[in-house]
Amino acid sequence: MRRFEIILLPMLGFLVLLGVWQVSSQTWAPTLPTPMKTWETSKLYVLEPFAKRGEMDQGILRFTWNSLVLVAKGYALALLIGTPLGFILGMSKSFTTAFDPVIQVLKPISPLAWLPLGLVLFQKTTPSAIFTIAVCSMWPTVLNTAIGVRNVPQDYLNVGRVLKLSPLKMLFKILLPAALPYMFTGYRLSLGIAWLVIVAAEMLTGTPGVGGFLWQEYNSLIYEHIILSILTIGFIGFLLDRLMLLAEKRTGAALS
Amino acid sequence: MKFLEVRNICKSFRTRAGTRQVLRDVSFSMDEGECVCIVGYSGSGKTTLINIVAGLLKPDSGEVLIDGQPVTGPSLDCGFIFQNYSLLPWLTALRNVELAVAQCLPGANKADILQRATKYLDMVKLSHALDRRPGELSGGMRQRVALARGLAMEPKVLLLDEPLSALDALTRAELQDELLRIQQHEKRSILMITNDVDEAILTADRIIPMSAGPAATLGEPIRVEIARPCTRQELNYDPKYHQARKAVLHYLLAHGPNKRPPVKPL
Repeated sequence: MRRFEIILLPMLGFLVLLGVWQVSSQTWAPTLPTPMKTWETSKLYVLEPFAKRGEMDQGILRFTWNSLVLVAKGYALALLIGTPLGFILGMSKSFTTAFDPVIQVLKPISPLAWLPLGLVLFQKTTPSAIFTIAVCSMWPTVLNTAIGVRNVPQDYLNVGRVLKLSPLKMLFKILLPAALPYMFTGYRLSLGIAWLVIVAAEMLTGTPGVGGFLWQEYNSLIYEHIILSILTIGFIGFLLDRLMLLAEKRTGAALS
Repeated sequence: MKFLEVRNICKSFRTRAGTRQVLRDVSFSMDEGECVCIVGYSGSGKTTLINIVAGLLKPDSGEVLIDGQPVTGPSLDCGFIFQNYSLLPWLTALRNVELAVAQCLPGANKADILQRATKYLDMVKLSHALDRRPGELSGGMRQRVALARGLAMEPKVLLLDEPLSALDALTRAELQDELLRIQQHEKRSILMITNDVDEAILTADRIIPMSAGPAATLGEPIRVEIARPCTRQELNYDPKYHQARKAVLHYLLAHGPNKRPPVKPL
């Protein structure tokens, strides 16, 4: 595919989306603001992205930053718990047999279900949001790390045995580097979920972030800002995924 | 007492079809500084045998003694060179060797470890590729790194499990010569597994043929009395080479797989 096609075709895709949006708001969805109207109403938030006019009236990137900080905390917690858990799961068959069903039961629970429990546990909104993000996003890390550890080639383990590596050296010199590509896939999927959860968490807790803003503007009937928030969430999510994919590819390339 | 002694090893594996005996009463011994090759059909249990000698597998019965000490598990006394190189792909050639050296010299400083690692990478003619990862090396170069790793451990005995069989014929011949050259001045104790009779005659002081499985046993050792060093051309005209070849092939053909499909006439 030629270079201009790589740039042109995605732009065409977005144009189609804009077209569908425009047509929809003029036909079957009269409450949906048109693209032009959306831009008019929300340009203040985009053109002054870091302004702070009030707690719930900030530039869109400032909101985004708040959300990212919250996500980073929950995500870090998820990795901190998920990675060792994945290692234990990958190394011990009995541990897997005991805890895999538990994980499979906890995995499909929605953030909307975890959040009230978090509020009950921590009484405050920020810790319960972090709890929800962590508990929802850690499963891909746990499972992928476990798969990575389980799939460490027997040859590498034999090298470790022949060289009489201590258990600690075995872990850091063989298991960890060999499982790293799998772990990064888990980390990427976890980040995607963490970002997905942030909106739900902020909507319910009213934290000043993109999600909180979205919910507030729904209540204030400013529908253009809902669309602005949705688009922001989408683009940031896409960006995060790309960044992680880059990191994933680099570790993969370093190990091949 | 011999330097390395393998006494009455039996080993069976349980499979879905039932228990399958792989090794039946296998015994042999070798002297210090000797190079012994075990030659046999693929799938006959050669790798199982060398894994037992290395302590990676436990025999059902029998024992292995190195320098009078029974082998109970993997030990740094055995340098193991794997068929598929088994280099760690995230480490450079140098780091792969250094990892092994560091294990053999606990408490040594970095300079000493580096010095020993480079010495052996030099010996296998890889000083130009120290910083390359296995993925950036050819098959022959990878096996050189693996060889350097084994040598650098300076173990009592080097165990080579079909070290050259994954290589193409040209690279294989090149590495055979290399192995011979190193052995000429290093005089290590080497136990090598191969399925190539010529390779065995070229490198070994003694060849022990192995019958085809199941329940493989060893034949009488055949001493290779060709003068070394010698070129391949000289080897070709050495009657002792043909004599050894005949003896090994005679055993192998007489103890081949009994379920071989009959050759249909055209």
